[in-house]
Amino acid sequence: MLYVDLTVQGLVQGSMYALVAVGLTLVYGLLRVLHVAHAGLYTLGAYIGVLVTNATGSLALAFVVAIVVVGLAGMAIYRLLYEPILDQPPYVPLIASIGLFIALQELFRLVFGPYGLTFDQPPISGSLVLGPLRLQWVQVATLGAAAVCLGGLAVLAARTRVGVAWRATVNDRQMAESFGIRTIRVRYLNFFIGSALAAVAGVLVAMLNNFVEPTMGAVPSYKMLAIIVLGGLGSVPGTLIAALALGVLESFGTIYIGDLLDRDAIAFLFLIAMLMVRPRGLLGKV
Amino acid sequence: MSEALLCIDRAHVQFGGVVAVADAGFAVAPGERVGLIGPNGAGKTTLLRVISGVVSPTRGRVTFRGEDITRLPVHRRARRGLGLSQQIVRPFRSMSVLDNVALAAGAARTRRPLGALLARDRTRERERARELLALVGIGRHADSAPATLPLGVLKRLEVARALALDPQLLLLDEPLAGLNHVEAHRLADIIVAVNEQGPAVILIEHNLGEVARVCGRLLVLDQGTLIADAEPAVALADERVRAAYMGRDDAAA
Amino acid sequence: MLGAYELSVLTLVGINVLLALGLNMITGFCGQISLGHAAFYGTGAYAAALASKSGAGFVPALAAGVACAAMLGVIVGLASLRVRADFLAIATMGVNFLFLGVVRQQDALGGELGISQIPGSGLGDFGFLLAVLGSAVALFVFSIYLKRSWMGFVFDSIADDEDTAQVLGIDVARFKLVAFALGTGAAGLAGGLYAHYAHIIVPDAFGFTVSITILAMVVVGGIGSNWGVLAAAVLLTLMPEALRVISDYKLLLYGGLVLLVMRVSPGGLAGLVRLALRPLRRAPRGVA
Repeated sequence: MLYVDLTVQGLVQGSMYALVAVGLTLVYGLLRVLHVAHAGLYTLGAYIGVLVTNATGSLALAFVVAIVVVGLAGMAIYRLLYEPILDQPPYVPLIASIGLFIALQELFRLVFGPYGLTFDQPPISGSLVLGPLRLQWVQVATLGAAAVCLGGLAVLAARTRVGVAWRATVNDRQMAESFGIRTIRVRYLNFFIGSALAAVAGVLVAMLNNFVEPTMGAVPSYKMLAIIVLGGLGSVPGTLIAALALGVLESFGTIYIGDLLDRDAIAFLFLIAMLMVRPRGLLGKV
Repeated sequence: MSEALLCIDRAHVQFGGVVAVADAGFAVAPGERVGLIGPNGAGKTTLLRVISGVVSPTRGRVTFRGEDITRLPVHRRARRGLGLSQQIVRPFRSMSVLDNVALAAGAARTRRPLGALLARDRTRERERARELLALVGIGRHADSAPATLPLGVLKRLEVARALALDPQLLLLDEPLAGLNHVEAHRLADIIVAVNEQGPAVILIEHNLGEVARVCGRLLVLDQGTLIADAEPAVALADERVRAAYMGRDDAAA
Repeated sequence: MLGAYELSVLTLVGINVLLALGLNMITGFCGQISLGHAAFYGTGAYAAALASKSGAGFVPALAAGVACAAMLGVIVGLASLRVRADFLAIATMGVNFLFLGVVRQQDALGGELGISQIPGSGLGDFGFLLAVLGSAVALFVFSIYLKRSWMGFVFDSIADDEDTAQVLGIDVARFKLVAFALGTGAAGLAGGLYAHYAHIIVPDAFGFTVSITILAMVVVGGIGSNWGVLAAAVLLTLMPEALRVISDYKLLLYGGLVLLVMRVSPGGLAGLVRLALRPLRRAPRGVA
């Protein structure tokens, strides 16, 4: 049953990766910008989750506040940082984003202290036992939340007017504008949704580890990039598959090649391999 | 066939399910002036790219000066004597018009990294560049930045840059596109003058009036297939050529 | 005379100048985004450390550092031939992480604890400082020459539009590899010097944060500008030291500066200087 256990653990990890990586791929698909600072928003979500829960005792409120604040922060980043420099060569927004991420990390450290925060009382505890499988309720919540959020996103994209407008804009901005679609609004929505998903992931991770600290976004910031390249830049389904696959691969990889390679480096091994063999990624169109 | 400068032998280019060029074959003699025409999407640029090396044919052969260059990379073909001017102008925006051409003129210096590292002087190449810019009529823009210049000037910069390589075959992809009547006529005359000094020219053009005027031979491509290879008068009178153009939207000058 | 502290700071300045100018060659001159420069720095450090500890002299150890770093650089350069821009940025980040991931797990390289008791250079503190600063100055002079040479001319065209450069007969692949070899070799030298300066090296000294710090120096100075990058490397190394108060805010400063520069003046300090000098250059022509 080790394999099943490893797989499930991997899927839990992978669904978290998916929640964060999707925001990144949404931004890339729309603006061709690698939004590294996204990981900083993930961290912000985690901190808000802990702080609000500790202050008010309500996890639900924590989720709401995190989603709203981080979503707005994402939109602000678009407006203040990316929009004015979209016409510059691609390394400019990339490096700016990296600078912002580093600055955010440092701000978290300076404001909240380097030692991190924990929940006064873990909001969800206990485990679910399904036959030979033992899953913490938090892990179940993670899988559930990812399914709901990503499923909701898919429905939004396919069935609603907003979703159609968004897909049209990603596909061909000028054409979309000539149809009267307000692409600026689509961009704001894009950033809001992507950032909100990252916030959800942040709160979930805070619960999973019962610990948030300033550099918790560091590994995700680079790993998410590897994931979206593996899945195909700009492809949400590709990102989802790559995220889940990586979660499982890391799970197994740590056991079998942990002697050779650090767990976090596994993502990059696959990244480099993919770039050599199929730079488009799994489902990429670029 | 043995004295031909360029020989295309059943070149076939297929992208996925789409056939861009279907078993094209023709030869170009040294010093010839050949026009390559056809309606939009006929595969003219693709064919030119097969010659210049930007595109690899699915099958078929390209022979240049007796050598099979089908698998030779782009930069080596440039050094064997193939000059290319592109349809969408691409000047180096970070340097002056003069330096754009000087870099090309300095092909001997840019051959190997070590040689390039040890060389500093650009005087000779800049002089040659000025000559070429004067030849195409844009000498007074030598010290300007490309970003500020109109299309007509940039098109001629492309031609000057291709010439700086001292090519034996000049591939020009729609050099007259976007130019007004007077400019187009002038550039076409310059192309004739250049050709008379040596290099053979293959010219892709939509401007049928000019291309028929300056070329002694027309190759007509339609949906990837070569449907005519004759003097302009004969080619343009050909039934199939007319059919290819009529029933399409654009073209006749 | 110079105290131990001043010697130490100046040594760091020299090492950072080597790192920044090297990165400038790859990213600035040749236009290849490289976000994992610390991996080459680390490779040079580890190679030199191992060589020195097994008895090779100071200079042979440095040479080993340069060679190993440059070899890794050429391999990464080969990768750059297959992928462009955004992908290359991510791939080079990946190289940095792979480097760390591998080094951390190898007992032969000391694992998490790194390598310690690396012998000194044998030149004494002041002599060593001269060696470091001498290397930095030599690299700076070389960079200036490189930019003016035909190789610099070719690099300009590759950074601008590599497809068109091909059409002009330029073997773009070969030149890119040379850029990588030169830039990473410089990093390897910096690494070797660092190993002999610190006597201990740990994997964390070559992490992504270090890559970003070096990038910050290049970016703030002005990508591609020799003088700008030199100035930025010196300033950004000295500032946290000179103003002890802000040393805890060092990373925040780097991040914020990079962000600000990209947002406001992507050409860095050099760009600002050029803007400021422009009206001065126009004046002579106006005079009849």
